[in-house]
Amino acid sequence: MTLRNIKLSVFTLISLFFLSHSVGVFHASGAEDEPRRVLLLNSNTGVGKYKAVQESFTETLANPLLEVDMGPGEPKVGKLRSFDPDLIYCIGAKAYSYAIRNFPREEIVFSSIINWLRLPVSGKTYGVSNELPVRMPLMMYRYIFPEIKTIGILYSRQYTEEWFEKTRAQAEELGITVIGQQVSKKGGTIAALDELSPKVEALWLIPDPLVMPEKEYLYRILETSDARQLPVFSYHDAFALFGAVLIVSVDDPTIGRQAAGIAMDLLSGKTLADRIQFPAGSSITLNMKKIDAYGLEYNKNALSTVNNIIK
Amino acid sequence: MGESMTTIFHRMVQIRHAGTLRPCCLLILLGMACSSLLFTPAVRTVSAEGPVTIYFYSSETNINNYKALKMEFDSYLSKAGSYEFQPFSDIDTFERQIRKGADHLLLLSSWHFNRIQDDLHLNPVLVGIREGKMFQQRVLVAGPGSRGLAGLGSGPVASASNAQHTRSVLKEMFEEDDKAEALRILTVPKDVDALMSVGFQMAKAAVTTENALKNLENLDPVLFQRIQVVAESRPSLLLILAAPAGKEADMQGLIRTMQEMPGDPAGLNALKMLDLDDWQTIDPSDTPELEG
Repeated sequence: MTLRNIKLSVFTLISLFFLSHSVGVFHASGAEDEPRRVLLLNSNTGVGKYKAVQESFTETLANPLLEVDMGPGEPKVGKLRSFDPDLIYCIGAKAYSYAIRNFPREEIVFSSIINWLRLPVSGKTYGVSNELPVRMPLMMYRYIFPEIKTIGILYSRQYTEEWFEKTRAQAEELGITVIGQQVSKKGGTIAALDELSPKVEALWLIPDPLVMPEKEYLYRILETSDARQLPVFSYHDAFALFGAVLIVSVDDPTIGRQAAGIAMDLLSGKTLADRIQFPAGSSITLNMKKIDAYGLEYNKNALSTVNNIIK
Repeated sequence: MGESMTTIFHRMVQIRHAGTLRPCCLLILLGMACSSLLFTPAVRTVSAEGPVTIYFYSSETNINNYKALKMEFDSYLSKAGSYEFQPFSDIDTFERQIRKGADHLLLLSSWHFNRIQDDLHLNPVLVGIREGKMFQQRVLVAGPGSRGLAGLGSGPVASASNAQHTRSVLKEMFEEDDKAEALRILTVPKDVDALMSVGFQMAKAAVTTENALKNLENLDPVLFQRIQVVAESRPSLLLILAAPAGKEADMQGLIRTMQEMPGDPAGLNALKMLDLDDWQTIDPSDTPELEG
């Protein structure tokens, strides 16, 4: 447990103490036009991405809010219930799993969960997924590297085959040919890459647990691609530090603003057409070191869309 | 040397006010101060107080790559003199900073310039150029089956501009302040994000530029077909480089360095990061656009 987490927990407990008393007073007086309350559960405020989402959410939403850091451990349900929240906002899977177990009657909004489909949902679940619409990275690949027309993907039948087929169809609409290579067993990643790399101009690395069951596989994919001067496109900013050329990832502050918008709509009694939204903002990282090393042509006019440049 | 003499002069005047300085001393010091001012160069390239800074804040563009921008601009500007570039992500911090002094240039949107120029006594010096044009037009786009402005309800409207600027554009388009105020704005990092938000129904509409829409048509004709323009704004000037009134001559060196950006690879890269191709001096005939 970090010092920061301890501080936040102490802050949370103090807030809960005062709120539990003030809530009692409000209820006793029967105030009916009181603004509706939101309980914010953060799986771990020590995680930078979660923190960024929380900050933009709290800046956007004006309702009374109780912020709880679950980094140090699960809070006591009774204490949170005494806040009497109308809506729970959960950042990360740990917070969401806790909320759906303990607050079955309240509306729950989630965000920042990788592959939310693996988690249980109720009729009161809403949220922002952590995966960009597949058209977004495809469009950015095309915009920044208009000369690259053939992109390879390593995927598995178990986890990403359906996604791969949809992606291939959408890429065709954008004039990009996507070629896939299936990884059928753990340890088969590099052999599949050897098969794929001569046929493509870039590799799009996706989060498939069979393709990358351990970190070691990520490093080996990037090293092997680097040796062949095969540019790697991917989804996580950190990969650029290990040699990926272009990263298209979600923009965390936008996710917080979107979640706040969903919360505002629900609290005002609106019916939402889409219960789960795609993230509306993207963040682009471009690795100029690798672009120079590989002698890649890129579209200078696209530089204004790039958030981070690695030199 | 000149500045240190001026400082001594100010100190002596303060002593004079305390009642200890003789008039003849004051005359000598006045002479020294005047001669030091006479030898101060008109074009300031190096300052004893530190580099001359271009302060940047854009209310209207998709620019949020501050670290990369600073790196690129500093790398280009430092070759020409003691200059630096300081971007701001927050309008209040930017405005507080520029009120602290007058030895700087400002890079800001024409909308923002128009709001603060009188208060801060600013003059426009250069205007950005993109594809040969110094103007841009904002458009409000909506998804398929849109019922125009009436169908927007409470939004959200996605925009890469800050909420205040977006609302101002919407007020101009709607010609009804109340309707524009009632709309919720979803701020996104880039114009392309705003357009995608409409395409994938994260927003009912988006405020973007004609240029971004043209880009979308080239990149994704299928998505472009699903989007329709429901309103247009008046044309406005692209980014403005401005100087505090009376400081234009002092800043000529830095202004010239900015004008030379397209001819230098590092300068061109920095310019492209602002989504510009070049600069042009502002002609008096352009000023009505600054008043809009």
